[in-house]
Amino acid sequence: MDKPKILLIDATVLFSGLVYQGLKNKVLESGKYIFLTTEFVITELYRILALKRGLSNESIAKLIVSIPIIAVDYNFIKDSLEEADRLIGFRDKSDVSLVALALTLKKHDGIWSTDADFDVVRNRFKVWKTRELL
Amino acid sequence: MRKDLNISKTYIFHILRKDDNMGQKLLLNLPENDLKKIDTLIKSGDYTTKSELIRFAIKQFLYSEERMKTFKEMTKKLQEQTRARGMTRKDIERDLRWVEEQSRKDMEDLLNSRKRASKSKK
Repeated sequence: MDKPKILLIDATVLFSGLVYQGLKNKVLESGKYIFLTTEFVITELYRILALKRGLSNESIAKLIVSIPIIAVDYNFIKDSLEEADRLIGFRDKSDVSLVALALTLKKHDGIWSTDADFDVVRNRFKVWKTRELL
Repeated sequence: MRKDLNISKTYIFHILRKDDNMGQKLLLNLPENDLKKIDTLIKSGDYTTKSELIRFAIKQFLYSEERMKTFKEMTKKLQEQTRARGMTRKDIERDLRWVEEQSRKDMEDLLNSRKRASKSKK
């Protein structure tokens, strides 16, 4: 199977890749992929870094700007939110924005996630496990 | 000439302008395919010369390298914090569940407000 180029990334993978020295961190730092996500995922990241890790706004801003990832805003995905909600909302509402991004983008190579909730969209998109990306 | 790169021409580029105060000429071999793409970009008017395009490309590359360096430094600090606090994978997962709960509420509110807006339009 060809390696993917453009991957949509969820909060779990992103946060784990930042705070834990493991395989996810290796993939993030590999420079091999173009990562995309939504502003909702970045908000999750902000919350956890500020409220659970106690990072200052300045440090969070410095980190977020340096992450090799493109984040799209609400307006980019808004027209796909309802369809995404029908596909995955019954499993987990927090995954709706990423599925909306997958539906909005015509060209991408799938979702990078270790979350089993994404199993329900496997018939629509390839869902990559971390080991497949190394 | 390296056949595997399909290099057939050698160009001398002024990578840095004289006003950058360290202008040096750089001998650069490029694959024919890349040169064709560069010529197309110049013809389209996005760049004036090959030198300008390559200077821009190098600046972009150096910026992304700098950004990656900062990213690695920042993640290293976060990972050190994880170790110093004795946090395990379970602790990280607990934090993630907490933040996902907030996101679920946000998304529910957003979808409900969109439903209301859609109904009131009808």
